[in-house]
Amino acid sequence: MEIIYLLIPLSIVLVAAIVGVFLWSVRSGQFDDLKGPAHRILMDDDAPARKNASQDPSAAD
Amino acid sequence: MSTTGRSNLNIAVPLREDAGDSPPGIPCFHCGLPVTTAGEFQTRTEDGGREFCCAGCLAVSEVISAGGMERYYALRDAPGNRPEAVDRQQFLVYDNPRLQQGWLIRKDQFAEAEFLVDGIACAACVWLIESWLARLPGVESADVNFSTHRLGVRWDPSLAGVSDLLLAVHRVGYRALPYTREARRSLEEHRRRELLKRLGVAAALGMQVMVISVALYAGDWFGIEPALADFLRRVNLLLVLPIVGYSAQPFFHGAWRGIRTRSPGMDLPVSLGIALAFAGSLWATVSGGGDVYYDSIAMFVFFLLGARYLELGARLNGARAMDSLAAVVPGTARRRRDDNTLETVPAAETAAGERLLVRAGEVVPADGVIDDGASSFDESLMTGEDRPVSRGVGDPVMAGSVNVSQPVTVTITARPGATVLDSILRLAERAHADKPRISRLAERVSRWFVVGVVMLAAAVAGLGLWLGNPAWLPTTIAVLVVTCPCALSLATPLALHAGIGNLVRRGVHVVRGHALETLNRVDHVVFDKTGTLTHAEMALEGITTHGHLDSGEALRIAAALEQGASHPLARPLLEAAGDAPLPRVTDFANVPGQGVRGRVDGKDYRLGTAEFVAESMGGLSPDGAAADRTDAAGLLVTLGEASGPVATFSFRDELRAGAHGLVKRMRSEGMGISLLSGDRPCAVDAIARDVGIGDARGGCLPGQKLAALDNLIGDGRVVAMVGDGINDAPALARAHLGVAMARNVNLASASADMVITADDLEVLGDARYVARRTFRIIRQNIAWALAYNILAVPAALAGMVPPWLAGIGMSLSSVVVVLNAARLTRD
Repeated sequence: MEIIYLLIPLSIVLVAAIVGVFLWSVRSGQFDDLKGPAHRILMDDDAPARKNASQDPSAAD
Repeated sequence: MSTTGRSNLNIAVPLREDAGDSPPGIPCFHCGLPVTTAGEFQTRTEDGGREFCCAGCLAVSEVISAGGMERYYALRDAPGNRPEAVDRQQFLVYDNPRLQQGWLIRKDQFAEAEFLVDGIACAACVWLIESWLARLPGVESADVNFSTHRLGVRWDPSLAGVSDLLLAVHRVGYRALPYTREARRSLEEHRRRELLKRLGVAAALGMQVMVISVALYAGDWFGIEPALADFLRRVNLLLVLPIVGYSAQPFFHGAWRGIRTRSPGMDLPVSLGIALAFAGSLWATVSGGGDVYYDSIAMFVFFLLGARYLELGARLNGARAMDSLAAVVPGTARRRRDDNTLETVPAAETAAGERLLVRAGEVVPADGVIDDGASSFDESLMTGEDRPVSRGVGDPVMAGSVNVSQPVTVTITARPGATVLDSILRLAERAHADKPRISRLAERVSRWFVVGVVMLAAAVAGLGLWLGNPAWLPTTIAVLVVTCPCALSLATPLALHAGIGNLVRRGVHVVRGHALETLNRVDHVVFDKTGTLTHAEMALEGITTHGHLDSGEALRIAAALEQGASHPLARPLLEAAGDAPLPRVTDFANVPGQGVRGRVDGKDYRLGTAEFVAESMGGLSPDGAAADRTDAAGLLVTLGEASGPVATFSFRDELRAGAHGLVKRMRSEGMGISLLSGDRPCAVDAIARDVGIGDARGGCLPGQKLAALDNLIGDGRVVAMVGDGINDAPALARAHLGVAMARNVNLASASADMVITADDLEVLGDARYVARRTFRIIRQNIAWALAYNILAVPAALAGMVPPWLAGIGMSLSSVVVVLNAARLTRD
């Protein structure tokens, strides 16, 4: 069971890291909008590009 | 003053030493920072010298002393703020009237504004700022809201500028900025983030604590090496330290503040519980014997913070309904220069009289009148009406409405910041700050409750120790935690916020805090007629012909005559005539108050009152018209030629949508309904008959309206007066609940408690329904909170509730209350 004296301090280090990452993520605003990103993933990033492509021929006309 | 100042200073000394926690050197008398240049900045007072860290603190302290406000040092429980070097220059910008738009309101000779003050730490700060500002020449009143850190000032702008106020606040060591929606939003965002950080830390560490606690419980059951158990406890102590020291900090702050202001809140028993549990566990860990409650502390702090986070979210959602109104107004506007070219300018820089182009799909940036083009506008945000309304040249448009079809040019009538939308927002914000009676009652009750809880816990602890009960500590902690009136104190404000938010979406704005509560109790509604039950716009109802002309021909002639007149009846006549070409009118003349006359197709016609028409035939009153007149509801206008009257047009004030429905609904709910109007009795009677109001009185002067209201109030009725704002102002103020129908009235001058921007009257019925539901939910919440406490207290007293379960119980009871209130935000 001596291994526990190593593993538990290790887990504390891990927790400290988790807390550190969490605080950083809150501070950098990742928790400010919890709904937007879920919708954003459904939107096509390439839509504007396609629009440009279809506009170009008409502009040429 | 000097004697009180001195006696208070004796109290001040230990406080100051508490604050200055860095031992080297003497702490600065004002800000508590260590003094590095001893003897350089000091003052001599009756009780000895005072040392300051810098010239700034010395100046602030001298200002405070010279102002006779030594009491501040006695009252404060946190060190003062170290002042920053300030320069009047940096505030001068706020004296610019352009920049004042949106947060400065002028009333009579006074100006009113709200400021967000940074650096308020205790009740003494509030006192200091208020009394300091009150001394400034021109300041009529200054109020600091301790919980929102907002300072409201009413002052005479001719004696003091905004910069003078800001400078004064800075001179006593605080920072103040005009309160705008953006400032508040960033403050709230900051608060939300802080809470989230504390919650996250409690969650991450709490999980570890639980893991190790399970090992310890298992060890209790199956046996464990004492050295390992001791190690695990120490690890838990390490993990709990940040939870107590960081995550639970708001509770300790709140508790301390509650003690200082002698209004202990629920933070007090919570803090006592955490402190007791931590102290007990710490002692057990260090001495190697007794129980530890690390798991309870972690769970308790986590659940409490979670409940608070939900509560904050619910409150912000309520405020957001309001903010979404404000957010729609665009930041830029397209201004038409004199030479008709366009330029894009910030919306805040537009001014009344300027012309803006609003394209289809754009939001109108300011209140104005259309001067070119016609389009339909979606005003749903303001009025709750989903269908777009058409507006043509000369029609008003409101900031925040969306132009749906055609580009129009709008002449601004109200600059941004003074629009209908803005005044509603400002009034509604005041309502949020203004607490209804039931809320104050709940606060008072929960305050006494807290005192009771603490005394009960002390009794339990004392009794347990006296009887030698080994479980006295967990029992005391459980009592403290389980009885915490969190749910009780959340029950009311949350439901109210949710209810108000719901009403905003329907186009009903609560302007004063008591409005929902009163609406719930109203049992008699008094309506005004013009502008309330009706649109105050005439519509042509019927045409009676008396001679050779048919009604179409008569209408064409009448419309032609009214073409050049700006009479309120001209519009319905022209509308009724439609697009048909109108005959030409010559020799046109307008006789104010009587009618118009002119020559059409070679014949002289008169259009106006029966007397005016009869004049042309030698005073002979036509029988037919006279007969009509007695039973007609609206207005009669006669068209006559030299030989006699040829047609009579009857007009009626158009009923507002939903008037019938509202009256029916109120009658079925057993409410009394009256109609009091300044209009002619016959018109009032007809409207009353139409919508089904039995008690109608016409020809009422404002004084008579008041007398009628007093009669009703004297009979013990709870009276709501629904009027259109300006002329009904005294009656609105007199009634228990004043409801103003607002389209384009100056809301700031309305003495209403509630403002309806929806076009449909029926929303008032909906509002009553929402008010009822709100109060039903408040009652449910209070009943639930009380029932929970009544069940939980005996169980905790009997020692049947371990502290961690008490933590879950009280957090869940708060969550139930929050979720119940959230039901109001739906539908």
